[in-house]
Amino acid sequence: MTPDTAGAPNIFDSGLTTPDFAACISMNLQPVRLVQGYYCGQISSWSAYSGYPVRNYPCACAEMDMHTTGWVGRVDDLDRAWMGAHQTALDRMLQEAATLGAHGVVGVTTEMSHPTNANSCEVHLYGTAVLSPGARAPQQVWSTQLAGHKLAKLVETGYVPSSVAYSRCTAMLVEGCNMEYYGSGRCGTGYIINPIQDAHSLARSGAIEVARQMSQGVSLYGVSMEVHETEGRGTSYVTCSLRGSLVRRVRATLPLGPPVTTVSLAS
Amino acid sequence: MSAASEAFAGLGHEEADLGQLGSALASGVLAPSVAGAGGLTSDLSLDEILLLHSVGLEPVQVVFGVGAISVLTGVWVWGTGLVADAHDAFQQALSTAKEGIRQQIHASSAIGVVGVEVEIQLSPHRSVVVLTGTSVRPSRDEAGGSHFNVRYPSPFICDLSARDFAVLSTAGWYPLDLVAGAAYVHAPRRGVGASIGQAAQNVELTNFTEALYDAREAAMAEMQSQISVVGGTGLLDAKVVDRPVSFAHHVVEFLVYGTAVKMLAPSHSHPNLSTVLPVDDKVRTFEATSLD
Repeated sequence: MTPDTAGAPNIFDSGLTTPDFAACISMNLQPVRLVQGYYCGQISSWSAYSGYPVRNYPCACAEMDMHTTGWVGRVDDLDRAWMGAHQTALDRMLQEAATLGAHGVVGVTTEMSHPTNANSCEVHLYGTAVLSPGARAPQQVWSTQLAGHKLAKLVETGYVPSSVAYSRCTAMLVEGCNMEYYGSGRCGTGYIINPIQDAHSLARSGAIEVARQMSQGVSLYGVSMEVHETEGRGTSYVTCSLRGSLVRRVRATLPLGPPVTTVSLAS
Repeated sequence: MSAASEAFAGLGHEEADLGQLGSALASGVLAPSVAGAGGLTSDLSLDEILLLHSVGLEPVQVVFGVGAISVLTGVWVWGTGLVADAHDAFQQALSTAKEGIRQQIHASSAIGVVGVEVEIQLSPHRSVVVLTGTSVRPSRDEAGGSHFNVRYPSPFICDLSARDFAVLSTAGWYPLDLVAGAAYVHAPRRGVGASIGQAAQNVELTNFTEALYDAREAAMAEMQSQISVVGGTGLLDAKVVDRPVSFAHHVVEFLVYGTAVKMLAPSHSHPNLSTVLPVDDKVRTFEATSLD
């Protein structure tokens, strides 16, 4: 994982747009290098089957034989694999930035995909390493998805960026006679389908809880929540992913006054 | 006081010196956090957070509510009139989701939720509604005071953006609740004779047009009734969904939802509009062909 630090010292490259570049220069932040962190790995083929029940459902049929009544649970292995991949890629990107003597990485973009099949994961993080000439070396390189005037606004508001963050939770719904009865309409109208409600709630609350654990003492802002559902034969998954920027509030008062309502004459 | 704090101390809104920000950011990791300011999650943009602060609110946490309600088998077969089961299931799913999000608002010591995203899923046997947004609470200044003085009897739910909330509250109006009307109406079959006779003609399918009107009437009436129930005097930003049901094309679905609002200030406050003419538009380029 040796970063490419070769090149002329006064030549920079960056992923900044022109307005973001102008804003960075105005903030006395000099772009240094487009830094990147990769992780490509294999997810254990057992991960998808490693779910464990969080809630079991009562039998909703009259069958006396042994049968599945259904449950909703979590698939921690799968989530750990993706979050670990993200963290590794992030660490590598920050390491690259630290090697260049940068103070932070702005405009961090995250790409996640399955490079080969469902049992593989690839995470690619990239952003622009920046340094503030004359400032002392940082103890830790910070990172943020923001850049340009949005970053300036963040600091003006009283926050400093800490790190980009990613959390995720997968809920596994194993259908049984309960789901078959309440989810197929045989029960009639107006019954709560608990397995579906619980699967959606578990995925969302799990991802939010992980994010809250990350944000102890800091705050997670600009969160984007993505929910993905995969239905299979007898088993379905609901995955909730959160991405955002961890920021710390270092000033209590906020400078913004009451908003002024304006009418723009631009088309 | 740390270097970052010193830098921040001089960064008032009116006198912000962008040149200082780099130094502040460079050593910002060393600055101490403000006590009690952590542990928040928000899906709002920075602009929205600033606007909320300007009206005395701050984000607390991403909250959600889920409702999944069963629909009786067989209600989608061709018939006439309203599909009452589908309507009941949708409204029950919505109220279950609202109840869930209200519980989370209570748990996070917030007073309401803004920017609610509404997801609606309908399948032959279930109606699912998911609400997601950011809960908000009155922000406190250094003296512990707050300038958000509205007292809600129960948490408000609104799908208006934080910007809309700020504009609305500045004018003296406040959101109360998310309300919705829903109707599922069968488009009756044409007669065999009419169907064959019209096969080679361009004609209006009046059965579908009438079904859509019936559905609209029922849904709008229900939504207006709900506005009254929650104590509102109007509704903003109504979203309309009208379409044939994907798995039962002879059924017309009409959903309408939005945020019920009410003026809580003594009188409507007319915003003092300032006209702005941006001069950073894209430069019009010279086109030689215009001389032709």
